[in-house]
Amino acid sequence: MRYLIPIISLIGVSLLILLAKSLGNTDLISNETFRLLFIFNILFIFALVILISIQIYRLLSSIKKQIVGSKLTLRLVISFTLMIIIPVSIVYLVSVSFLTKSINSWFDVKVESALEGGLSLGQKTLNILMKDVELKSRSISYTIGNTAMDQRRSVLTDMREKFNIEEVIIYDEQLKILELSSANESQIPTIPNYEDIEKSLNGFYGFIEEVDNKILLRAYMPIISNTEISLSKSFLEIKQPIPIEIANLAISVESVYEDYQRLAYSRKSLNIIYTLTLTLVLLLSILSAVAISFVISRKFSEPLSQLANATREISRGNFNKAIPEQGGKDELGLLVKSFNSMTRQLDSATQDAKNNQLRLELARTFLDTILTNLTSGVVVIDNKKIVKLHNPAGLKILQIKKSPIKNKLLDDTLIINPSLKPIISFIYAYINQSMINKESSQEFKIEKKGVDRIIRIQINTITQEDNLNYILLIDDITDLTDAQRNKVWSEVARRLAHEIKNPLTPIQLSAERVEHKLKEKLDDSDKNILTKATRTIVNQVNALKIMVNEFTEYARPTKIQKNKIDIDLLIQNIIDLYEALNINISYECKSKKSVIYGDENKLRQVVINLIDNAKDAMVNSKQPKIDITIKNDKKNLFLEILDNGKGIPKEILSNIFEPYVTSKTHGTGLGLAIVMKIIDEHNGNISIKNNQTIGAKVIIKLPMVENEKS
Amino acid sequence: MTDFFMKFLKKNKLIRILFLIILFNFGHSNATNGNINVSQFELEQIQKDIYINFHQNIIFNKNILEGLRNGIILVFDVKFVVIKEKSYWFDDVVFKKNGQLRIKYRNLLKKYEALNIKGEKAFFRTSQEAINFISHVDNWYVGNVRKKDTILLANLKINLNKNHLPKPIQININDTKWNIRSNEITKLFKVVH
Repeated sequence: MRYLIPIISLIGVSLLILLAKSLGNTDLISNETFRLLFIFNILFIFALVILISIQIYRLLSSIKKQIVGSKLTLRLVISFTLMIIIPVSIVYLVSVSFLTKSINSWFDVKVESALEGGLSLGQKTLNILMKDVELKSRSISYTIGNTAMDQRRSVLTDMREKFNIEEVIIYDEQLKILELSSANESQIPTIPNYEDIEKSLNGFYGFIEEVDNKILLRAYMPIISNTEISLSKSFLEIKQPIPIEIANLAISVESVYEDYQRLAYSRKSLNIIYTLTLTLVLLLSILSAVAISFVISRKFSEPLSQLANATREISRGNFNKAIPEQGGKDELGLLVKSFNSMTRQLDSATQDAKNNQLRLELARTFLDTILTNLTSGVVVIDNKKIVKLHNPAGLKILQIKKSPIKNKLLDDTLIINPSLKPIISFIYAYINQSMINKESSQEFKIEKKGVDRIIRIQINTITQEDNLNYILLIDDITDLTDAQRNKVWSEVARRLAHEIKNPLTPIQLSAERVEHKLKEKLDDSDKNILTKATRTIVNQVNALKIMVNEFTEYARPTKIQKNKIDIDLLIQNIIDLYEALNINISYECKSKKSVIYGDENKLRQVVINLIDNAKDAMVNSKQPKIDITIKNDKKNLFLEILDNGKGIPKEILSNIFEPYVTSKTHGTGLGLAIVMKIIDEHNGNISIKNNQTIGAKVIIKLPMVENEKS
Repeated sequence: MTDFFMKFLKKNKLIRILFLIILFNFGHSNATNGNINVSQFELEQIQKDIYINFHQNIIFNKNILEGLRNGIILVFDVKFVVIKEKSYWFDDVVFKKNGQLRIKYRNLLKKYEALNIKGEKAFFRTSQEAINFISHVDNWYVGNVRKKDTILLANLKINLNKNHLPKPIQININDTKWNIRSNEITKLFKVVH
């Protein structure tokens, strides 16, 4: 369409030029061609109207669809059209008026009168000459009529010469030439028209004719005599040419007058043609200009449309929208270049921002991952105690089940376990600065499912954007303290064993020696006392030795020989040992896999210890029963030992695995400590809890050997 | 584009009507008025020479007579063509002859000047006399034929030559009164020697 309109306009101009050429008196363009040309012009105008209508329709559609730049194009088109229509219309009206007046002025009354006068003068001259011919004719006719026949020729010649007549002929009634006198003897006379001779019967008939571009006066008259008019006898024909100067002038005036008449007659057509042509020119000019104005308007509005479009794209976040720079060195071209430069910078800045955001996001994700996988609880609150950040460990340690707690107030209502409330109080006291000694760290002993746990909280303060925030680092340090305590106990046990074990043998030997030496020297009563005392010493030393051995065992450094052990078989073997003791032990292996890596002897010691403990707990039970079950999940094997004994006193439940903690009257209290140590050495863990009704339940978790089935 | 144009025409009745008017005008302007009626068209063969005789009844309306009185020269082209028809190819033109008839009013002489097809000039007091003078065409030699027993087709056409009219009248497409022409007169004849 962009090239179509200029091409069509060019064709229009060519048609107009051809049309204008055809108005002139040229043989280049025939009448039929002009007609075709005229129709082509009208069709062309029609085509232009259609083309412009299509353009307008498209433009209005664009406006309806709210395509950027279409309104601007419409405005420009209207402006251009008005700029064209107004002056062209004025020129048209002035031209039509001028043309009409000019054409009318050609046919001025004075000119017409002058021409008519000239022609009339010519006619009158010819009439005068005809009158002269008539007079001469009458004179000759009369003279000849009264002349004897034999003298007629000489008289006729004399009179022709006298009157200066070119040719005089006498015919008879059969139009036969009787006498002839001519200035040009070689000239052949023309045969007269009988009708003309008949017309002369009344006396005289003369007329003017043109022969060989000469004007001739031809007259007929019957021969008149004094006695009679020989009407049917003879006729006179006189031929007299008009003088060449007069003839030329008359013909010239006639020619001009005829030209004028023709022009005057076609005046109406002339007006119509020129007005039509001017109208065609007007329409073609306006329509071509309107059509071109579409192209120009689009050319003007296109960069602006592209700018607006690109701006819209940028507002949507598409910064890599570039406008084609078409080499324009004007302000628009500069604007486009500047815009493209701006978009490039914006794109670059946005890309940087995105990269930074991505990095920030990655860092946040990394921090989240760290926080999520951190076993320590982290909770960030502001000075209004609103939770800003927390990790799952924080919720778990603080036993908060209302998740999420972000942007919520950290208060007692979030805490389920009342034993944790002092922690909240501590946090509030710290933030409210109501503490006497402002300690940022504190340990709390709480109870969780009947087990005491030690929670340590550390409060750090950070300032962000003038806001004071508090980072609460919460750790369950129970395992740590237990490990420390176990380490201390191991050290104590090792030193005790070392310090106590060494003098025990000399004590025992010394006591036995004293008994041996003095036994024979003492009387029976003293002898009994000595024997009794010596036995007591030996027994106590043996008891101490047992205790020291247990301490040694407890304090012994890790030395485990791991092999594949089928726990199912191990349990069955151990149960076989207790058959003789008449204890009701039920066993069920619910796990298809039961092989682990471990020290069989140590694990046997663990199981026996636990069964013994259960047995001891069921001393007063009417129907003692031990249920042993093996279960598993994907990675671990679970050994559960359940009894229906008296259970574990609540006060020692939390530190049941510590040395010297026992509910039994006998024993060292090191059994469960050793059990825990062995399980730890197998990378497992052990837990003990009381059943809801009766008895206690021990659960041991041990990692299984993968992809092996017992 | 064509589809769009057709849809546009279908939608817009006014434009469709305008389009039809233009087509009608184009067709109408080419229609013959047929106000020269040729009669008594005869061919005469004298040895190998062909002569034609015909009479034409030329009817001028008032406007043309007025134009004639206003100095407009009426020139009629007489076109005579003899062709040999061919069934499966273009016809052969055996010969053709063009002639002219002319009438004009001489203001100086106050007479109508008529020139017949043989170039004979005559002056008449009335236009009808002048028309009558050019209406009769007798023994007009048009050409000669050589092949004996050949059937030929004679074709005669007379029309007013508008190139001799004033330019404004020539190009005034609205003015159709000057479209004076005869129908095409044809006659088969056999060549004899």
